[in-house]
Amino acid sequence: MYLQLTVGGLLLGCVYGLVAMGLSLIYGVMGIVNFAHGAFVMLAMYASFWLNRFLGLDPVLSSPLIALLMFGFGVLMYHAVIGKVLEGPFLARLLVTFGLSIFLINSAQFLWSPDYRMVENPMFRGIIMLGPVFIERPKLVASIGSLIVAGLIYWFVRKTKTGLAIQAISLDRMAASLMGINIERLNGYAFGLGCACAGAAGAFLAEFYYIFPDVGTMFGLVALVAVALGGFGSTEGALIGAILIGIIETVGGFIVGSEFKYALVFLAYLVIVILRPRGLMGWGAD
Amino acid sequence: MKDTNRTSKTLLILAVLASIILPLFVKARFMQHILVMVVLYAVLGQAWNILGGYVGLVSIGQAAFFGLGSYVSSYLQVEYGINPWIGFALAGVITAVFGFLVGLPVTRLRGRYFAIATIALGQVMKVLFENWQRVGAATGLMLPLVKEGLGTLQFHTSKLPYYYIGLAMLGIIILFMWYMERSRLGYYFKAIRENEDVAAAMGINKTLYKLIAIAISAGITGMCGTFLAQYSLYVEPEYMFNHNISVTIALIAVFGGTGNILGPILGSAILLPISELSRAWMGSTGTGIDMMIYGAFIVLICVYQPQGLMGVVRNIQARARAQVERRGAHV
Repeated sequence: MYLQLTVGGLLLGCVYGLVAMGLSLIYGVMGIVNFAHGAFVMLAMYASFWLNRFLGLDPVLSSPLIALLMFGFGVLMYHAVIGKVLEGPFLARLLVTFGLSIFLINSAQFLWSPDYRMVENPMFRGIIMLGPVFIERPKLVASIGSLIVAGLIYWFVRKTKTGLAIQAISLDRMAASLMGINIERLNGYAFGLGCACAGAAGAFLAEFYYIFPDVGTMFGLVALVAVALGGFGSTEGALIGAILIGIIETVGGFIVGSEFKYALVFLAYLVIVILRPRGLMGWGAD
Repeated sequence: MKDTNRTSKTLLILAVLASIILPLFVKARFMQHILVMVVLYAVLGQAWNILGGYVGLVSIGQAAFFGLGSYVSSYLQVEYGINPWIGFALAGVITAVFGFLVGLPVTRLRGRYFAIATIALGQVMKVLFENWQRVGAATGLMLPLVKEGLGTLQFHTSKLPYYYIGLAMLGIIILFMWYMERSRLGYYFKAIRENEDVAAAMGINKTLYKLIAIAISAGITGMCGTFLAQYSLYVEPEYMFNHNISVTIALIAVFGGTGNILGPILGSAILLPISELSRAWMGSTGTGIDMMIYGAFIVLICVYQPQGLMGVVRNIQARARAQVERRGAHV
């Protein structure tokens, strides 16, 4: 039983991991805690739903397209809103994404009503048996897909010239700017990449999850906890934190009752952050 | 200098008189409701301000204290028939102790780790109360309707008494903060905000003073919870522990300007009518358009007015002073 639950948690954790990675990237580069990340996941889920409805495209297949769309959306958001508060006081930087999140969620409700929707006839269905463990196929696809996208982002940030420039900004903004890096443009790219992570995760989730305006809120909060767990600014930490949270959520939720599972996740955050005030692998300023 | 002192004193007296007399002419119940919400959130904003504006601990989980306070008095009243005034006082004491205990581990955290911890606290409290059968779980508690009056803290015919009770709370907290600003406590708070390591090196017990701040802030917020419970006559987790309460409280402080007494009052006086009116006009359509406006408003404030209204006022003052000095140099 516990093996089953742990595997379930692991699969869930990989999807959380992708969302958390985007969050961590955004934080690492520009010091913004993106509370609207869950809303971005929600938008991506709706985008895949409508692509499926009108073009018959399966969410998993449309995930690269969704990621690309969300990249563009992220760049736009950066130049319209986020970039303008970067120099502002701490509180403004903290609250602006709250406002964005409330705005996006309610825009979705306005445009598409609060009804629950589901993608009809998804490509991946049913379960496969792996020894004694049941694995739901769409969840397996989602977690593998998430790992692939996470790997791609990791490669992009570590190996390409643009990625290195983004890293340079997160290490030392001033020095990077003196070396001729266009901070505004690359910040925009970094924010876009973060959104693309949320976008791909949203597309994978749309394959098997209900879609409604508030769906992203919990994903966003849980990813936030994962990032804080791993330590703000550490991409690998975010992935590890997310997998840990996925397991805590499923196994712990089974033990204490599923209505308490998110309380458990937040308690885990409180306990770990109190023991290690900068998360498991965190570094840098407050 | 004397002149500006006198004008500000006159302005203050005028403002106090206006806040007491003008509401008497407000007859529409909905307008009275807005007035009540404005004073309630002004008090909540001040409580946040003690912690966030003076000590620099940004909380986005004030709803945890607010909800707890509302449940303390309501439970005592429903279960044991205890007078809400006693519940009101007990709510303050219990949430202050709760804030102190929570603060023991949490005040070790800094910056955004603290902020996220408060969000986590708010969510945990909500889930706990949603599943706690004894206090009605997700349905919550209905307060018994009794004869209205100051003694029972229930008023049915008019909402104005609530306004005046809220105004009295606001007056008391303003007096408290006025003294705090000029006392050792206030200076310690500000020292911790500016640089807690330096403050600790100067011999300030930073843990103790952070705990004092969180206890005061939590206690006042808890009493506000009782106030809203008496006002709406029911409590339920989704209503009292709502995350939006926490965000609104922080937003009021940001909009008005933090670290001073006037900021949260201004913030509440401008923001709450906007939010209540948009809800009344468009909320009933169920399309979420009122919250859309609210969200867009938060974004606009953060982008264009991040120093708060008090920042604008201060800029204007500084410019005026500079002009006077320049003129003085010519003479």
